[in-house]
This record gives sequence, structure tokens and C-alpha cells, in this order.
Amino acid sequence: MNETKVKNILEEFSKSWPADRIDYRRPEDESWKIYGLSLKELLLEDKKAVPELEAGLKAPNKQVRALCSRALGFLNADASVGGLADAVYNDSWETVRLLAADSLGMIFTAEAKEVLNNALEREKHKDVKLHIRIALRRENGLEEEAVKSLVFIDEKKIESIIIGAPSPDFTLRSCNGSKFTLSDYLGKKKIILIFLYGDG
Amino acid sequence: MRKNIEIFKELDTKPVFIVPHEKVRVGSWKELAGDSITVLADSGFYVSMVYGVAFQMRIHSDTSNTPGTFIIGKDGLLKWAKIGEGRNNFHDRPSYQEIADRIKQTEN
Repeated sequence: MNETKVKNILEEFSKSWPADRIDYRRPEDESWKIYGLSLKELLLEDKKAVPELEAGLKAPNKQVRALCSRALGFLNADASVGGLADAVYNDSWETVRLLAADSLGMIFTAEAKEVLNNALEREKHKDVKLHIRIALRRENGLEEEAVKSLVFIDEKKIESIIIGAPSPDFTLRSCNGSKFTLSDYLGKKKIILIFLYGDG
Repeated sequence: MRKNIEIFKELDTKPVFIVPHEKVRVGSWKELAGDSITVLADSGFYVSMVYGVAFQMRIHSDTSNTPGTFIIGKDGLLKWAKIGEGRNNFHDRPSYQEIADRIKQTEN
């Protein structure tokens, strides 16, 4: 039953994210929402999704392989180190190798670290090498509380910003570990929110 | 960069940077953080999804946020927003001076 559900999620995702997709924002293109919602649905399936996600690491569509690589880390799938090792060593697309490295860092077992050390020796791509190094310098595994916030997202809240309306409230951890809640600043200060993208 | 950001302090405005990664990957953005500047880790993409910027740009071989800038008044209302679009979305973002000018036009 769950196998079918995960297969369906990946099939639907594949329609919006074909292998030749160009990853930039185009007006009226809402496939980015499909990305987030697919990831949410996979996380809701929890560990039951793992076998199909491992199979997805071999999918012909590289975007599906990338999504599966990311989801396995978010699920802390420690039994999937072998599949992720194959992805980080051998996948033809650097994005899959990079996300597999992220996930191995999140899984954080001795076996995962050994794979990352081996991958660092053979990897040539600078972006992937950077992700492997970041994964190896982690002091902890998955930051579960934060990562799983996506599970609780209400579809109606996605892109729910309207000029002149209340700004959507949220709470996040700062890079120093303290909690930040937007509404705490109500009546006190103007806020400028700047969303960043790549690694710092 | 820090000097540019300090202009927001003079405008009674708190700059908040949101990075779509776990804290471990916030990296050098962390150096920006201080009393007046906050750097947040949106590792579950929740806030990036709510504000409509998630998964829209390929950068450093990853699928990440498109640039997004939002001004929120003291009354909690969203006053101004700019979301990077198009083939050059990396460059489709306001300068710090433009943001400062927009803040000056924001009364509450």
C-alpha cells in the first residue's frame, strides 16, 4: 500500500520535474510547490518510504534521484547508507552526489562517515567536495526539529504573502541556536527579511 | 557587507537573513550574526515555502531559494516584497540602498 503511495508521489513529481527541467523561477511556473509538497508527503510516510526511495536512487530521471537522495537524509535512513554510498560515488549528476553527501552527513553513523571520507578522495566537482567537507565537519546528525517543520506545512500557507496583509508568522532557530519569532517584534521594530540561497 | 547592513540600524529596522539549510551549513553567513543582525536556519524550507521563494534557483549545483526580500512594518503588515524571477533570478534582487529607500517610505 505504502509502496504504491510513494511510487505515486515520485511519478507525480517526475511530471513537474523532468530531467531536462531548467531550475529558475519562471512566471506562473508553480512546480517549485510540487517539490516542497512531494518532500512533505515522503516525510509523512516516514521510514515506510525508505525502500521506494532507495529504488528511486536508480530512477532514470535525475531530478527524482536528487529528491530521493534528499528525502533519505531528512528521514535519517541509517539503513540506506549503502544506497547513498552508491549515489555519492557513482551518480552521473553532481546534484545527486551532493545531496547524497548531505544525507550521509545527517545520518552521521561511522559507516556514513567512512563513505564520505572515501568520496572526498575520489570526487572532482568543487560543489560536491564542499558538501562532503561540510558533512564531515558536522558534530551532530540530523537537526530533526527544524528539518521536519516541512511536515507540518499547510498547503494553503504556501506563498501566502499579500502586500498590506499581516506577514505570515514563524519561529526558527538562529545560527547561534536561539529562537526567533517574527511576531515578537510587533510594535517594536520594522523587519527586513532577506532570503539567501547557496552555502555561505 | 556588514557596513551596508548597518544602515538598517539607523532606520530602526532589524535585518533578518534566512538560509535554507541546517545550522551546520549556514557557514560564513554566521559571521554576519550579531546583536543587530539575525541569521536563521530554515532547514525544513518551511518559511521559504510560506514566503514563496523555495526551490526556484539552481546555485552551487543545488536547487535552492530564489532571492527574496520582504519589508514588514511595526504593525506586522507586509509592506513591500521582491522575489527574483526569470533566467537571471540570481541578479534579480534589490541593492541595500534600494531596500533602505523602501524602508524610509514605510511609515509604520
